[in-house]
Amino acid sequence: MSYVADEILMAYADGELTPEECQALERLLRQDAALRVRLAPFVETRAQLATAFEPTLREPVPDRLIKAIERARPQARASMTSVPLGGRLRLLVDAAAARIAPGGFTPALAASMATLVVAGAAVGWLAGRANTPAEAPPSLIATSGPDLVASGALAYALDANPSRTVLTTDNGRTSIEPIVSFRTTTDSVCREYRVTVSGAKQDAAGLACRTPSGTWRIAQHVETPKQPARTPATDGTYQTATGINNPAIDAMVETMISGEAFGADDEALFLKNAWQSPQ
Amino acid sequence: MVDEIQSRMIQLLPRLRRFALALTGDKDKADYLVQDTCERALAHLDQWKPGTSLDSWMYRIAQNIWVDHHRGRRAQGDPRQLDEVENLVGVDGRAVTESRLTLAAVTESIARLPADQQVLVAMVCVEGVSYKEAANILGIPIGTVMSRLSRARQSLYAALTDIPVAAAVPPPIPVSSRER
Repeated sequence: MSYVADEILMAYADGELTPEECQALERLLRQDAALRVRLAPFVETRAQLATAFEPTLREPVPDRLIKAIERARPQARASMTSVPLGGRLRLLVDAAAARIAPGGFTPALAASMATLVVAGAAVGWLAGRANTPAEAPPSLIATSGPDLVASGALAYALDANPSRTVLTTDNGRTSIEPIVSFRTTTDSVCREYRVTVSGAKQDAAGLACRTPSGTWRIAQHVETPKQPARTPATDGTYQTATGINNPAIDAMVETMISGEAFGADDEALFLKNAWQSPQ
Repeated sequence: MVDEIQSRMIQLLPRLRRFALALTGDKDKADYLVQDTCERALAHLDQWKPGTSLDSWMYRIAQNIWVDHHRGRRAQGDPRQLDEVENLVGVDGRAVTESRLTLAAVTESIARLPADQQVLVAMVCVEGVSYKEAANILGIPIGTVMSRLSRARQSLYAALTDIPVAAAVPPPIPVSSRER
């Protein structure tokens, strides 16, 4: 029987062999128990390490790191004209919110909010979490190859919720709110969102961009200072939210946005059209 | 241009943090390493060739900083280093026999490897970098990558299972071959 080097066994475990090499090695592996024993350390270590470190990817990135990157941009800042776009975006958002407020939480909006809350509960149920006393919030972000993508209720909210409407899930513990939508200079559509988990020390906020395959790629996901939970009051009024106002997210939006953020009508067209550009 | 690279760096942060955690075994140290990496990268942006992989370039910077730091501390015989080594090789360190290993157990085992092996384990097993790319990042031949990594994996396996490699139960025949 021919000798197979450790390195070849490892390359097999790591998916580095060609299909032909795999077939040849698999023939030998079937016949040779000792060879299978030698393969085990490579298969096991790869699987164990990948599994052990995977959750790290989903943790929000500390603000400090993002600031460290942004600090080093004096030349970019200097070339920027007038009001930083993040600020402009904020003004737009607040103006849009002001059209609904003050106290103008219309019955139609209240009804759609109720639907969304129910939908959120359904999402929780589908994910098999509604009846479990969840300690960890439901997984909102998954990996897809090298990318992070929105999953579960976050993907649902980005797909279906107009900006400034809250979707709650995980028995009301987790609230997800798309904040604003816009088109990028590379002609894709992105949405800023906020996630609030009751009991968590921090909120999270992020930026997700629609991919051609219909997923929402997470461009950014950061911790933000805790905000009071937003729940519709019993008298039907609604507390007007402030923007996320996270400098890291604002800065990224500045680099990506083309023109201005979508108004409610533009956004409604995208919502209807599964986030494809209306023709 | 600068803005675009910064955006891409921010998008890379989750993976850089994971890589740094695999190297340092400690979340705080990992974040300091990531911060140093980003600052050094931004200060030397002229050295990055547009069109080449930004990921690989950042991994290279991170591992350079980490290796320099690691070697520096060893050469000076930093007493903290000794304490840490004692902690790492502590009494219960080899008792891991569960099939699902905790992150702490895994990072502890990685920490016992020589530095050049740790880097490869973090790159290939944790980050999923190919052998070829790892060789390219580290500037070493692919054969060296494979022999180093194979030794590292055997030590890791022995540490994580606490069974001598030869006495392990044979794994099942690969699934993909069964119907052939």
